[in-house]
Amino acid sequence: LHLHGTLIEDTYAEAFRMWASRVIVTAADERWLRTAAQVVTGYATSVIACDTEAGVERWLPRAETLDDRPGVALLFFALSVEGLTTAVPKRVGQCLMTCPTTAVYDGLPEVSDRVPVGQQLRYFGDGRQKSKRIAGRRYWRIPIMAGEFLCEEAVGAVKAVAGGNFLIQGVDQHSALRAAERAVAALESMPDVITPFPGGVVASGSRVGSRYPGLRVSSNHEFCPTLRSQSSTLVHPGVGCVLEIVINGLSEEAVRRAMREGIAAACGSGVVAISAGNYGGKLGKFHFPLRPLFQKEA
Amino acid sequence: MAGYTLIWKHQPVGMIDAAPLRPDLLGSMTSKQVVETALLIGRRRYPLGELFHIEGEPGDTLTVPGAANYLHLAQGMKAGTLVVRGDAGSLAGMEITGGRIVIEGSAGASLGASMLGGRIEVQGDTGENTGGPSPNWTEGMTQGEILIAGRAGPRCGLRQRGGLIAANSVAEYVGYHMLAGTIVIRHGPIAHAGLGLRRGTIVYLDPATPVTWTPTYLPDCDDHPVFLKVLLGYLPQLGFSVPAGVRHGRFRRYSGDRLVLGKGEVLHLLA
Repeated sequence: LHLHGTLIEDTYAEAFRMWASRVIVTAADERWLRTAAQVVTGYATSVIACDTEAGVERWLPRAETLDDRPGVALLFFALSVEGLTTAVPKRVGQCLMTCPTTAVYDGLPEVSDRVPVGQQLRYFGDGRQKSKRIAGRRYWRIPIMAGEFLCEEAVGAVKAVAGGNFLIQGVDQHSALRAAERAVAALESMPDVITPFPGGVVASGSRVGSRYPGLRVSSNHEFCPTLRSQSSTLVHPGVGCVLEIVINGLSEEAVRRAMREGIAAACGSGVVAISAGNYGGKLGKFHFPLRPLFQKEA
Repeated sequence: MAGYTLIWKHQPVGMIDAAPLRPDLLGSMTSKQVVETALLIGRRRYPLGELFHIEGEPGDTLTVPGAANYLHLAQGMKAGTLVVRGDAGSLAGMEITGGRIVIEGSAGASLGASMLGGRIEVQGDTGENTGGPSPNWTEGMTQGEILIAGRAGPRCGLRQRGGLIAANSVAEYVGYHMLAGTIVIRHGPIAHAGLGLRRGTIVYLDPATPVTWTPTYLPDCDDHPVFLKVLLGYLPQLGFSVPAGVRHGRFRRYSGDRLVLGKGEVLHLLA
């Protein structure tokens, strides 16, 4: 199967179960909103070494936020609700409460599994915090030097899917980068998914296992162009750069849809093939075969 | 929306214990059972069939005629919608935990006394102690919403423990000995607001009417509280309009009442 001249390999992406929370952040203006989003989703690429995987789901216009200010929907992923309970309040406390003008709301108010946020952070108020219940939702008002930090008591947590992926095999760095940027741009406004890596792109994809004790993962050598002559390889002839797009989503269908849109955007001139990362079933139970994504187009 | 509609055959003179007039109670009954349900008037029980023409069918909405001599209307209601085509008497909506009461006239004293949830909408005025304690409790409403299109009587929010009251205007002593919760007032003047208020918030949206606070309230700062943007965006969804621009307005924050705990606040919109 070829799409815009790019080979779609007969392989599949392997994803795994995670838990996710959607956190809505608002701020007085775009500048501080972007600062808040950037900081709170920093160092959150992979649970291999980070407490959470996080990213911007989409930017929200004022009309879509509870306080009529510009907002952003962020998704946080962890291996369990307990993992979210550890990561989210710390990040909100250190990165959002400290960021001028921000407020934090639950983006999944209808779900029953809850991750306490304001419920924990309120103690920063040292007894001077106030709570308000508005429209059945409880908020904490924590007095801070800049005024007041408003934070919803808890955010919802749902079962989600992480690690959906595809690999772009480009003839050189330039071609692979442009293709990856097209793919990320196609996913930017898509609901229910994030691409948690820097700029949405992974330059150093990993595989499960290592020859060194204590390391769970190592470089995905089969997709390293520089090792093509030295070991078994999945790099196509003429390929000089491989970049990976990793997609986390709130549902299997959301990940599948994002993979389809992302691959379709990435395919084109300078892209030899699209592959996917799978680890022989060692990693997760969700499999996304590439070619069936385009059955209608084919 | 289906439900029973009650129409007076003749309106009795004495106080009517209207606690059984609840949509969640009557709405699941057959019309025969509804006819046989009794109301206590004075010391005697009267079947509804003797007092009212009963129309309609089982459903989650109950429509009743208004009467200023109702007492305890819909006490303890848990769900459904009660429409009162006129006045609702005293202690209407007492200790309700859910559902919605729409009063097309005015309500008497202690509307929503010690209510635990639900919503009460009044198109007219209310008597004293709106959202205050019921005769069975020491605390006023703890959750739920009371929306008053007219004027709330004296001591609105008396010992209120939580929840929201929004009124077009209020009589004196609003938030008297309030424990927590929120009161929003659209127009002034207000007099003796927040006396004995321990926690809780009074939001006053009339910048044109100056307020003289007692010495036990002190100004903190001028501010744009974010929670007010949420609250004032929510009120119009309930049908309680707020003046344009108020949502992002600047408020002067006063803390008090320092004669008691002093953790309450009054937020007064600035011009």
